[in-house]
Amino acid sequence: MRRILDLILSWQRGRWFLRLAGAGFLLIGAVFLWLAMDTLPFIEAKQQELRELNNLEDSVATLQLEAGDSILAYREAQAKKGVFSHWDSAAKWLENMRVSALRGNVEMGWEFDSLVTFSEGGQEVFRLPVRIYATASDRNFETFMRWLELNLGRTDKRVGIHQLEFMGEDYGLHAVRLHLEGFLRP
Amino acid sequence: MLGRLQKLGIALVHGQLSITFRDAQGVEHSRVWHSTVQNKAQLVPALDSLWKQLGSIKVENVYFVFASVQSSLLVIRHPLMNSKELRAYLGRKAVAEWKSATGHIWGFTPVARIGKGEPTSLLHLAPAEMVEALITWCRQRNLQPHMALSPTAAAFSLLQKQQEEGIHMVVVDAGESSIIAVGKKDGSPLLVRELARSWTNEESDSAERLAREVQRTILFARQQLGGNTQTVSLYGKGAQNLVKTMTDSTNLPVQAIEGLVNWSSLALQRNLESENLFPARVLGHLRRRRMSIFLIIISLVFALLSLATLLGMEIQHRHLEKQILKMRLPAQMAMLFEEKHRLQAQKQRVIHAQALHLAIERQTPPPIAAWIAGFAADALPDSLVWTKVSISLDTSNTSWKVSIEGTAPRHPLRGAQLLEKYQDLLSSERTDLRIHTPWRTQWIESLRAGGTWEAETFRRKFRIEGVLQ
Repeated sequence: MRRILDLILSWQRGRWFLRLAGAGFLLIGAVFLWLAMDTLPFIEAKQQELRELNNLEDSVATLQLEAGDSILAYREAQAKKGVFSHWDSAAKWLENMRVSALRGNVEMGWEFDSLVTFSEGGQEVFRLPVRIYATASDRNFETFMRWLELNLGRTDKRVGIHQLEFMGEDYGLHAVRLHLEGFLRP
Repeated sequence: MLGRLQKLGIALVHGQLSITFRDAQGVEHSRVWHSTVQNKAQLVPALDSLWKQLGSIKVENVYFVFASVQSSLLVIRHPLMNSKELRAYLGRKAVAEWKSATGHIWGFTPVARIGKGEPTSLLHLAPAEMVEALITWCRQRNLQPHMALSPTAAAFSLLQKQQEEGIHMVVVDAGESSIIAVGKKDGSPLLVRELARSWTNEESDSAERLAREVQRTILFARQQLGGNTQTVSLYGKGAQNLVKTMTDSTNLPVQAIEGLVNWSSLALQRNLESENLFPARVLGHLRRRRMSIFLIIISLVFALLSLATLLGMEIQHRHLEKQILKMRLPAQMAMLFEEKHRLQAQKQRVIHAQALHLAIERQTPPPIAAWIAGFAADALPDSLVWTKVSISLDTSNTSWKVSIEGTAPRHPLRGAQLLEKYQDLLSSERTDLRIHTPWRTQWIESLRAGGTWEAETFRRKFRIEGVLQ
């Protein structure tokens, strides 16, 4: 190589030749580099597509954890738990309560009030107010309490006591008025 | 072996070859080739042999003194001009004066201008053949030809060896000829003559003839320069024999430096650019070669790296395309988008169901009313009777209103004690019922109304009201 270079350098136009050769290599390098850089956006685009796929997979996986079919089933079951599915089921529950009252020497009557809406329930679930009037022939407080515990303390229905009234005199309690509220999907 | 060398001097003066190198300490080491070198075929082996004698050395710049029978020295008077114009002018002169068909090399030494006289330059002319051979030899050994001088130009360095300031003369034996140089101590020439004879010639009167030439030169110098020559120095083999003749002839102090003139050593001491006989294209050749190699390697590396980058990018591109194709990306994306939309809708349902569940839970109060009733009944003393007990959740669903009405024994002290005790129990820490209407309020109202007890039961009424948070 040294001899060739010496020959070229000794040649009158050798320096220009070498400069041209160097410039040629540089130009070729620059063209290669330019072509490589030209490919870069395509690679970026493909990588972006893969990243998008990964992100999509991640977000789907996250959503599966948050709102998968089993989660939805569980949440919906949770929301329906203790809610009367229709008027009949509410009436049936109250009738059971009345039958239970009779067994305990308590006479009971009930009536529904108008349904009440609430924001979370929309037109799907309503509050169901129920007024109950009961009398016990033995005028015993404990009889009432046992009946209440039996029917409200052990039920799987979401029924809350909003008002409780006892009426009596010297001989004992003769009546109980209850204002209950359950939830109904009419 | 001999240390790191800075310079190498080579002299080929009328076939006499010698070589000198100056080591890092400035000490010069010389070798002489004892045969006559007539052509380049003899030059290269002779140089190789001397080079080997020097041993393992590292030299870069080469200085060269060269003269042959074809070499000539011309005194050129010329108009006043700048150095660039002077070079061009003398270049043309050199072409015009060179009579041989072979190539030539040339250099010049500007002579100090005296008074208003025309400027003068000494034009050194020599055949190119031997110098080209030397250049090729240098290239093969990675040596850089740096300076080539004629013996005349090299002889000027002898002026610098004079002790005192002023005008001095040196007479140097150049084998076939003699050089007479008059000049200053700084090495700048004032007058130069080259005689085609030397005192070493076998002619019997050569010394006398040389002495006469020297005498004539001194007189000429005095006439032209207006100053006296102070010393005469003789250099060459047999110079000592000339001292008496020369002293008698010139009446000046004459010193003789006996022995063959070491031209290769003299070459190392002269560094005037215009005197350089090497063609300009030769100078800096090694540097250019290194630079060229460096640039070509850099350019090649750059080109190869760029090519590698291009190939790498292409491979990566193709690999990605294959991967995407294999994954059926569009179909997979569409499927995932569909699944995402389905799950997003499902998420809304989950959120709604969760909110509904929480709302139902929040709006279903625990059986506090029954607990309070049970506690109030347990705490009720035997002598107190309920007539009406009401426990209701207020509209905000946060507190319970408790109202207990009943009757107490007619005896005021006993009734008061029982009611106080009952009220204390109701508002104890166990219930934390905040009483806002104590039993006393009812009693005071009854007293104001004039009634003290119930007509039917003969018992006193009481009412206790409070709030449970």
